[in-house]
Amino acid sequence: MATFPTLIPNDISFDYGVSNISEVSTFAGPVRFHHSKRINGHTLRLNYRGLSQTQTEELRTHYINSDGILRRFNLPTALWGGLSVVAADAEYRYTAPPQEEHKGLYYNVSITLKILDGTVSFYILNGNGAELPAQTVFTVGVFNGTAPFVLDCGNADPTVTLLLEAGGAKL
Amino acid sequence: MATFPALSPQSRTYISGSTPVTPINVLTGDEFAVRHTNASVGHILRLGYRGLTTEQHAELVNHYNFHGRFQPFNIPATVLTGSNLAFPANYQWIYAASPQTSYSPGVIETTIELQLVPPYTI
Repeated sequence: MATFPTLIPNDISFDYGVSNISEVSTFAGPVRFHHSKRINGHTLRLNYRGLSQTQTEELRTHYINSDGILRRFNLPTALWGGLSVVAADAEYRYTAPPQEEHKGLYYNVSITLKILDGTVSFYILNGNGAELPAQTVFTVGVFNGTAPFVLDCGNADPTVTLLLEAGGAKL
Repeated sequence: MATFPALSPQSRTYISGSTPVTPINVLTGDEFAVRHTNASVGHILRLGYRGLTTEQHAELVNHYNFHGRFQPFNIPATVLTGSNLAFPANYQWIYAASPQTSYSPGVIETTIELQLVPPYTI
């Protein structure tokens, strides 16, 4: 899997992918069923203007080495121009052959890619660096012990400790 | 469910919805209509943003990543500033399509299309 050439495009355009849902149309609007937490299938278009022949051949060679739309590859994060859309190790595939315009000395190239693994929409709660405050006696309703209550994740990686502080809760 | 980012769009298009109705022609030439539900569907709101910062664009990306077309959400008043639009109570929005962004040096333009959906119980 060859990484895409590190050639910064003049402009890019893309969508945000699609969520893995299926839906049924009803008179009261669509009823949607969620199949996974992934958002993928983004379309990314890279537009290059004023490339040299050597640079154009780099792009052409990468398309050939990817066996056209068959193989997947990584994209240098610099091509996103600082935007945060997908993970840095996301995998891409060509959806169509690159379009080349030969203008004599310079070349314009347009490339269309599809992002295969996208993002996974879940939160990671990282308690690292949190300090355990002093414990105090606590008796409210069925809770009888010391506060704050500590939920120890043990050998979880990364190791975190989730604190559930009951405060002044009352039934 | 997180409220849509409070970013004022540079352009806004609104297509009003309607109630699902089936018109029936009768032999007298008159036309009757049968309404199938109390729901009002098909409201579309298109928002055009131009000149976003990378942080503002990331807000939009993150909101879409966590909601997709599945999870409905509310939109803040800043998105509808000056429109005087009002919608039925308890209706929420979903993404009608994947947002589109074009990024040329220093300029981020994003188009977002939202669809108003009724609650599952009316």
